[in-house]
Amino acid sequence: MDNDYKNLINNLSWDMPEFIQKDAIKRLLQIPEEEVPILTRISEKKCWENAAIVLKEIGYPRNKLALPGLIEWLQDMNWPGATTAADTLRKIDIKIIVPYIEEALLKASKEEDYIWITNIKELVINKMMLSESDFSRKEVYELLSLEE
Amino acid sequence: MNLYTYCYNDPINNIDPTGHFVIGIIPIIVGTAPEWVPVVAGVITTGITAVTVNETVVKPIINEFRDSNGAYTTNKPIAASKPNDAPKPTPKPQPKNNSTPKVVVNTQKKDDGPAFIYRLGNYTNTNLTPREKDVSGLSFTTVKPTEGKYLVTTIEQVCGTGVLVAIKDGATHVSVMPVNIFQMPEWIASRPKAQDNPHAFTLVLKSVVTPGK
Repeated sequence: MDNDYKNLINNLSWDMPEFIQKDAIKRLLQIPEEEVPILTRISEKKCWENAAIVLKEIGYPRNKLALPGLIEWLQDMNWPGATTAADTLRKIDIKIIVPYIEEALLKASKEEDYIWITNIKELVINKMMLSESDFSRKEVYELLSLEE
Repeated sequence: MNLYTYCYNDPINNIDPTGHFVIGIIPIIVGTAPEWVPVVAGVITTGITAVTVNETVVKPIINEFRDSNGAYTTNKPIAASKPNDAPKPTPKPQPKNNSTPKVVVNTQKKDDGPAFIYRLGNYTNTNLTPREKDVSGLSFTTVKPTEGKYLVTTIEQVCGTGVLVAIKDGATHVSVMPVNIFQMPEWIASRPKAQDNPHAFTLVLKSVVTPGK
């Protein structure tokens, strides 16, 4: 990762002065597409809220490579930026996002991560109003019924 | 890293072995003799001003807190002055047959009322066990959820356990972690089997949270 981006990501921390955070967000909007996924792999939680804002502002298709990471953000809705990540995913065309949702559901099922499945269900059923017909495989759609 | 930010520019009284947290070396007085040990120290924005714990229960400590204005502070508790300035402790009688380490929690109130914190999700062991990404603590919020199931507790209750601390580290974000931050990895590692074989921290946390809905 370019050192410039490292510094910019550090400046996303909510501990930074507001003008530095805003400047980092503005400059990260220009991040090359291939570097976009780093915004979903930041270890410092204090940077997550602003990183989610950057990904939302970048929008699809420029945030395409970050879609798996955005769905992983739903593993814990208490995490900073999780609500923003859900909003970002909700605005993506159904035909584009469903394959990513299906992949995430398979992974969550394999890991027996029922909290993640519940959060995905909240997004796709209650927020995006998707139905079984929107899914390519019925068995994957049925994973949404798994609960803790 | 800016060299002047390392250990808050005070390597005499602080250490930072990982580069993630400043650990304050401050004194506490427990039992019959003073013990100069690292303890949790600082100001938790919404209530508790100091949490001191016997080293036999815990060791390191996070000295990274923010004040009510959002600025960092390294305020130390009244009981925690520098070693050279420390008053001679008055010896206290040691209870007989007391092999269990004593946990001393000083919960001086900064303002009125408990500091409620919330966590979305069910009242399950898994939801109260951190994930790999939760290296800095399990996320709670000070904002009461308006929908969905959630759990509720207070910063005071979490800190009162003596083994866990709740630190308000953002405008609305609160991290719950072991007093001994080096025990965080083992707590995280317990998550896959948390439902059937929960870590002690999970059970402790579960004992102080209640379902809010």
